[in-house]
Amino acid sequence: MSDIRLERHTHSATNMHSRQLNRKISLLSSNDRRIRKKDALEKFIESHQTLVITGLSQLRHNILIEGLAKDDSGFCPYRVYVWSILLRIPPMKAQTYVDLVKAGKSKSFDKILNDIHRTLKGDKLLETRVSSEMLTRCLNSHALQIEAIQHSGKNHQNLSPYVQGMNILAAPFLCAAKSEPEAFALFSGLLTRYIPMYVVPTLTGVHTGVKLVDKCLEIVDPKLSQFLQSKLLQAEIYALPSILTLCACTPPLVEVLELWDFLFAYGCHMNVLLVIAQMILMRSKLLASKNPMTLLREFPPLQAKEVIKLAISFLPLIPDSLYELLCKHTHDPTVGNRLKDLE
Amino acid sequence: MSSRKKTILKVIILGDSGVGKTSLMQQFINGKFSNQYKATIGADFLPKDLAIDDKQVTMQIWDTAGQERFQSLGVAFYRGSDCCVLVYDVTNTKSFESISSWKDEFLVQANVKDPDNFPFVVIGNKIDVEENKRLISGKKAQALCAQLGNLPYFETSAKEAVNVEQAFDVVARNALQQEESLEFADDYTDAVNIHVDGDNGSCAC
Repeated sequence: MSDIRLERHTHSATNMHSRQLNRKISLLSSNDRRIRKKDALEKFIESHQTLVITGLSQLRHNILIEGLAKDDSGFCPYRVYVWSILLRIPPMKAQTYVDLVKAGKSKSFDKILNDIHRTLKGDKLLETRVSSEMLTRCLNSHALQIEAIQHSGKNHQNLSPYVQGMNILAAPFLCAAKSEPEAFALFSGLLTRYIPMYVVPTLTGVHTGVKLVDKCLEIVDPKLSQFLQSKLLQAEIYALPSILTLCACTPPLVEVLELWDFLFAYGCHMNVLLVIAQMILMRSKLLASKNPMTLLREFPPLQAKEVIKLAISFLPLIPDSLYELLCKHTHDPTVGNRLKDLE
Repeated sequence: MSSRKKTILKVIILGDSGVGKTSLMQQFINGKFSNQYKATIGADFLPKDLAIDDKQVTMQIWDTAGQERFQSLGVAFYRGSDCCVLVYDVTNTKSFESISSWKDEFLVQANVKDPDNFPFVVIGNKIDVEENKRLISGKKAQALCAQLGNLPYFETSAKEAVNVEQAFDVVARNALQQEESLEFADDYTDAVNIHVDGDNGSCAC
């Protein structure tokens, strides 16, 4: 299944970016070498790629088939470089980030602070790797950046400096990255380039996303879909958090990281199918339940591999016209209306 | 009573972010308080069975994200509500000032038949804080509630379980009254959404 989004971009910057990245990796790895042996995938991302598209396809394929290596705590030391390559977001200068932090509070600072202490509480990996201060700085810096765009009158996409859920989206980046500026660059790039429709003030893209969950579930599993419809359980009621946060609202975070490897490789739009896959995993429980709402309010712990496998198996069932809308809904403002026309 | 279907009462909780909507719901339903609640995205919902006098009901409480009113949750959330709880934080002036716009937001979204008589209950939460941190007096809150149509007003602490039961008892009674006033209106049948009687044993596959 081809990914419209990823194939469309062929940045001339990408080559330069991979060179920068390679240099950075080799610098880091000279220190790391004594303690850690590199696996084939890590060597691959360091090697020179003549053709970006071919290199990317191979990387995606590797992620799908083998996945990234994990240490005892489920952590992959080079994951952040893979994400950087897949999202084609080059490392940013630390000074740029330092300047943002120095600029002080954004207008959304209070809102951000209000959510910091209630972000992914109790997750071991997060607690050991990410402090509240890191999360606050990262979210506040993004808000400042968007406010600056608003101020200059160039906020054509009507991006919001902060909406609830961004806190959850920032956490995996801070967890995976080796430095805060790096996490920030990826987080900010994901929001502005890949899922801009999710982070407008009215969350338009998220509402389209949950409608797509309904639409795709109808096709993938008519029986479950009818059952939930009979209880007036539209995806808007139960799937909103999973759509907005690209499934990061469901613990454990180690599984989220693995799920995101796949999402960044094959496109964030696939998240809609990942949400459906999680429901299929509890299908018989749902169908047997008098009160499926209580099962849906909090999805069972994430099993990345199972969920990805299932989501891919849905692809052949989705008609092209719907798949096109699925691909575009995270960044194209016309999809909401086109989806209505489809009904 | 056995011949009757159990009544479902839908209650929706609105208010600014961080005023304690989730904590109030959790305290009422599970009798617990935690500092660990996640910020709510979209909405969350929990049912609780209770008896109002001798009538058994299931109260279905919908907790909502409080960040922005214009991030409106849409009809699916508000449809069929029997009572709306408006919450503010007694240490946060802005949250108090938002109360009347949350009320308006609800009336617009829920499209209720008789807005003047729809039951609202106002709750001032976090009264466990030290007196000098409290910014909204009971008197000021009472005045607002009078002005908004003599709405019942409670001051609670979800943290220390003060007055939560009492507040939700009034919520439940108001909701029941509202539900019964609509009982014979056929077009309200879509209000119910967790209650399905009968066999679904055959569904399991």
